[in-house]
Amino acid sequence: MSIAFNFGAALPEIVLASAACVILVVDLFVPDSRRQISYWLTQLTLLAAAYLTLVSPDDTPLRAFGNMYVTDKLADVLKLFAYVAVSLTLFYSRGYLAARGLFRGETFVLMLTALLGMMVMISANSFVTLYLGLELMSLSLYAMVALQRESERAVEASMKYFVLGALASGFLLYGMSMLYGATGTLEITGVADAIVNAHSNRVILVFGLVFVVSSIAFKLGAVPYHMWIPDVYDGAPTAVTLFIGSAPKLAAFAFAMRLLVGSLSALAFDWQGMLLVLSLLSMLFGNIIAIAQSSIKRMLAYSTIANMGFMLMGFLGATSDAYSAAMFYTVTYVLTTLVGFGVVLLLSREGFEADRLDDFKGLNQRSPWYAFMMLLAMFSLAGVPPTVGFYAKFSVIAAAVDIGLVWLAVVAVMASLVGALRVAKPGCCCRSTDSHCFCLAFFRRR
Amino acid sequence: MLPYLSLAIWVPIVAGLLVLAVNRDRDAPAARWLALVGAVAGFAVTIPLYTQFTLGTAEMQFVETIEWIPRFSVNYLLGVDGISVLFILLNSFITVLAVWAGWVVIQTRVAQYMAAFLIMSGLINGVFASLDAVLFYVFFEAQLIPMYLIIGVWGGPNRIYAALKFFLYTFLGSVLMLVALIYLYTVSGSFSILEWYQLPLSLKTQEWLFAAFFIAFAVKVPMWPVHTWLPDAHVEAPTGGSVVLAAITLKVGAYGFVRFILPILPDASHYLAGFVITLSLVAVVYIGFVALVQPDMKKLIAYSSISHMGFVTLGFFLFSQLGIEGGLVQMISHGFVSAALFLCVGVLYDRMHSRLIGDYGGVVNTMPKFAAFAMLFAMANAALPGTSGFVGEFLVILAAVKANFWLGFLAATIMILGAAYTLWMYKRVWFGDVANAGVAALKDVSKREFWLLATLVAAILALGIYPKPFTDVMHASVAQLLTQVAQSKQ
Amino acid sequence: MTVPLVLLAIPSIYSGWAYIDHVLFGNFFGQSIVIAQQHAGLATMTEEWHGPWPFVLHGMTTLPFWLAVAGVAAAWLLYIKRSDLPAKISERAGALYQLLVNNYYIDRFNDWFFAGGFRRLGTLFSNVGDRSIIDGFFVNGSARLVGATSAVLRQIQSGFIYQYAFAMVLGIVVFLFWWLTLRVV
Repeated sequence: MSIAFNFGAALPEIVLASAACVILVVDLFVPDSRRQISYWLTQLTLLAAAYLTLVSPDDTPLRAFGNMYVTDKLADVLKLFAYVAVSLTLFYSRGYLAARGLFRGETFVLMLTALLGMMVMISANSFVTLYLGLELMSLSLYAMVALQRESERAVEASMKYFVLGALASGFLLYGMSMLYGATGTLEITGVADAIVNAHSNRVILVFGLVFVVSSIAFKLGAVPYHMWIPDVYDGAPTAVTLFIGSAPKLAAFAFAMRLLVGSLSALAFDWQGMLLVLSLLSMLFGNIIAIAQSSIKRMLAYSTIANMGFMLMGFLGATSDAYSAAMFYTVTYVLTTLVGFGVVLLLSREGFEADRLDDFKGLNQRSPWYAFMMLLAMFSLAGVPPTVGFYAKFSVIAAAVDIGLVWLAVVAVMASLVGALRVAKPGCCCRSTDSHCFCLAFFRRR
Repeated sequence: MLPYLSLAIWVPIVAGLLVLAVNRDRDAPAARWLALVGAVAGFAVTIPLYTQFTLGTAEMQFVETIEWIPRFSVNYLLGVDGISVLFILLNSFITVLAVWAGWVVIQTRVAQYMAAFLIMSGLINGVFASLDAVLFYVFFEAQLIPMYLIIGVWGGPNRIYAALKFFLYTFLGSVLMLVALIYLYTVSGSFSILEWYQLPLSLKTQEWLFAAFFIAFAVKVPMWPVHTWLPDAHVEAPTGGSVVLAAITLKVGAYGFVRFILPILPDASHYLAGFVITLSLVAVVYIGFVALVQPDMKKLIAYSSISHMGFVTLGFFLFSQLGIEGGLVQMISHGFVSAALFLCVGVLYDRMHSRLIGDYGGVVNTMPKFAAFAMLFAMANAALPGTSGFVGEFLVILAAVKANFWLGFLAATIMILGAAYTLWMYKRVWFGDVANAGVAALKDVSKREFWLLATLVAAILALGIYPKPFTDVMHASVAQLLTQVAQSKQ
Repeated sequence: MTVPLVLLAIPSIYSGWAYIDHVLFGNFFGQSIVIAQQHAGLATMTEEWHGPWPFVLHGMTTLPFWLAVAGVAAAWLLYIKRSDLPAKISERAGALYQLLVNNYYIDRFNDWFFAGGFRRLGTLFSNVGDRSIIDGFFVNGSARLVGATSAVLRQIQSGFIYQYAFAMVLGIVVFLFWWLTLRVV
């Protein structure tokens, strides 16, 4: 059977895994002053993986390992953006990591293994593969959050992330076993067929669906499964926050695609309703709570929550147009986040985190380009044209209006107005010379 | 034929980006000259839009189409009719003045300042030229950013509050419009505004869409009671910013009424005309009273703008040739007059660093030439016959009286109130004895300021004495608009 | 100034003589002025019209002419012959004099009622309408409302991990309850 072991389909993953091992070993023999070698090896690995992904033929899906693994166009695109995200994260955080003694082989290897986990998730065609990828990614992330061992906040954040992540994994496993019980297969496409043809028990299916949706929501950070996000984003070193906030969102999107669309599309009516609730809550809570934050990392954390709500709004359209809108939104979100956090990272120096909103005061005087970039990122997050964020927001709103959810679209844009209040704040912070805190200008009496 | 509309949009934007390139402070003179050349070039490319404009047809002219986002059938679709073409000219003309007005005053980040104006000019031309709703929306929103920066960076002490208020108010309106646009797309399968003119819609749907569009444009006009961002924005904005804000960006809102609301939602427009007319009259009367007591000159002119723009919306919703043409003429006239008045305040502010009426008195003694200019502009604001202000207001009042005598009666109070607040301000600032040492030391207008103001005098008198070249352009388009509004789409 | 005044005085006495016949009773305006039948007052006058000279003589027999002459005489008496009289009269007349000299107080009334009232109304609209109600209550108020909501809601983020876990479990329970009771059965 050609399907049985089709190593070619997983070539980028294999290269990445091998390279991670090589870097781990090489790093042992590299003196601290030459740490650049490990860094460039990591970037080279990403480049190689990108090359392999690009040249792989993607007209027809390639299946491997007994149909547990699939490489299709969706997977290729998401993986490419994941490489870009990881590569840029590394690039932006070089100075930050070096200043905090984190410019070490472990960091690079953990990033690569997390990326490997994401790639496995993205290409998974079986519940087991999916779970494997998820755990590989999550474990690497837990470790990365705690990289700064002496920082109590980081360790606390890591513990929270770990415990809640384990809970979410439990949900996922439980949901998957329910689905297995109802359909008798773990293969994603097989589950879809079984639901349609074999008239599985609907109660058990919905039971499983609730748990699966919950774990997806946890990964995306949708309300009420969002609680870990602000604390982890805030506690982790900024470089790690950037990492968690970017590439894993792509994996989470793939996660949702594979599970909800790939295997449970017959239950679309049910999960549409659940996603509607999650989306609505996320948009409202995320945007409203973000306003009260004075830490830019926490603020961006809530912005993530709100943006994932928007993404879900596109997703619940449940048409191929809607999925592509949601995917476009995710990619756009990741790129914009990279810019926003990138500026925070580049501004951080030794012993200075640049993570309070106040730290951005007068930025326009100090470094106008960074201020301008930050402003663009903020306008993009608010969805103001002609930034890319507008087109993303536009397409998900179109997806919602298309299925008649005009009221949801109205709520969404009103929430994004509140969001604009938030993003206009650091925008204005970048732009003023005033000594008093004008971040709260809008709330101050005249 | 050259793509004049694309040129009108992109020449200023490209010029603005070029100006950005010379952003070192010691290159400021180069930036200024480059910006002026860019602005003049931007105006020059719009002149053929007028000279080659075919009169007597309501068809869109200078149409350009390029496929843009095929998945949503969004096109880069440009075109102008008799209604929009004049605003492109007005905008490009005012941009030259705005750049020129910031010549000496702006000493910090000159290149960025000039670039913001040029880019905004191009974007606003885009608003007036777009026949595709998404394109329109992109331009409509994008022009917020330069204005947000102009107020936020070069503004007065309370600029952050003003910039934020400006941004959020406008954003509030436009996000709802976005949903309405997307809804219309899902119903019609197209984003072409002209196709929407033929789209049948039930009254209920029209009312909802009307609400969404109305909030967007009413905030922009601004109509009572969503007007409070304007005085704050004006007070904090630098002179050039105020000029463009009053002369151009307010017109974008009123333009939205004639481009979207009236022809796309005729039944709702008729059904809700009373509501809009009431708000317009409140704007005229209530805001007139508010303007009377403002101690700050810029605030006074800002309120006067709101009052005058109330006249525009009033004219539109009378559904008659006189009313709509009057509204359009009023828009153009107000573009000149408000620009001129803000420039006058700028001239004083540059010398005294105060906008408070109480700090002045007897300016005519030290600045006689300037006082003469200001007198003419004040008279134009009070709609003296012979100035541009009279033509539009007279047409609208005529239309109002035809519709209902008391409507015309209330509308005509603008003549009294307008004269009251403008001339009272003039009396307190310019007439009387020299109030203090500051006024005594004032120097009359410089050569640059003289020509700046003289240009506007010429424009105001030309439109006031012989408005035919302006009204001829709009006749056919307004007539067609009226037939569209008269047809029920249910 | 004298010469222009003289030049103006001559035609003001004489010009009516020359025009009146032609303009009022001739056909000077042609069809430019049309008089409705029921308002044909001028036609009645035309019947009585015998030329300017009789017109002047006739004028002298009417009261207005003699009142005007009396005015001239009074002015001569008060300001040339007995110039001490005006002060005495104004003293005697008291309130009447004040009323007349102040133009029946119409200007004062206008200043107080219209100008002052408008300003008071404007101040009211500006302070109460614009600043308190629209800006204070609606604009800044809604911003404050959002801010306050935000400040309350952020308390949910307590930092306690068991509460976070509880929120997740609660989410599951609600979804299960909702879907299994309301949507499956």
